[in-house]
Amino acid sequence: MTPSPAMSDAFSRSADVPSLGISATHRLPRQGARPLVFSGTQLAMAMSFTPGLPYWYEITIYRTTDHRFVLGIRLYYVSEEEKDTSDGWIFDTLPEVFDALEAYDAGQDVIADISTTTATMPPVELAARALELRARVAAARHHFAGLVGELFSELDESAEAA
Amino acid sequence: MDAVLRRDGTRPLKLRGLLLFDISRSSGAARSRLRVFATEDERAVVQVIYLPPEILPARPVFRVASAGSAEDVRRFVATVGPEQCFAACPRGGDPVARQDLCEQLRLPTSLPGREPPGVSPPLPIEGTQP
Repeated sequence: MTPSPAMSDAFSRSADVPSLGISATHRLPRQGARPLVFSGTQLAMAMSFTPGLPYWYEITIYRTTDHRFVLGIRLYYVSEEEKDTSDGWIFDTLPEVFDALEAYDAGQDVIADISTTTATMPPVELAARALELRARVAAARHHFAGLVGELFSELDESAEAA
Repeated sequence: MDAVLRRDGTRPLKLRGLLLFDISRSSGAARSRLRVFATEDERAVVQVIYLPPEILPARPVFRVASAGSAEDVRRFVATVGPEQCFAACPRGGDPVARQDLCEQLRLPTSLPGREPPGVSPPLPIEGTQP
């Protein structure tokens, strides 16, 4: 996670990543809505890429030129057969961004690949599918919660150091 | 001392208090840690950390809970075992290597000496999965 000094003037590591803190036009694809296009600076980013895991999340926080905040959550898959997803939201304040991060349910990102064949499945197999789906939802929530904790921790450490 | 406790899924917990226990385990690049604090408002706060090696399909774990007794601490540590590192990918990796790592990182569920201060009733566990 790399915060920039632009966030409440509290983060001082933008020199590590030159792209942070520089105003630019960003385009954030969203699910079920038009892309979010805005001008602003990237304040912080955290990603959860881990070798051996089939997917990873990327969380990005921006400050727009009109002093609002954008939260972007992207989900990338290792397999090319899966389609990466992206979503974004705009908020008036940073605490609202943090609240949204805490409330985000990564379980909704799990694809329930239930086909029409379930109509003829025996109950035991249906139950097995349900258990598998529940495990995948729990895994996604666990994965995302760890990344959120990492992002908050790094932001807090940067604010303390400033 | 002032402490800032990272926790999964939510903002860090900031507290002022006394560090009662700080127990660590390691295995290669992997680490685990158990800390118990007595806070100024007479609560006990427990933090469990597991840091798996980067070569495994596992994620770090940071959990925090309030405890009313040593039994609460024991129960929390027993609930949040190193297996949680693999919760993001339950079937990933070599199961034998996973089990070995878990045993090496497992934290003690019994604390030596004094008990943390009590609160009644215990506060809910924070940083756990919904």
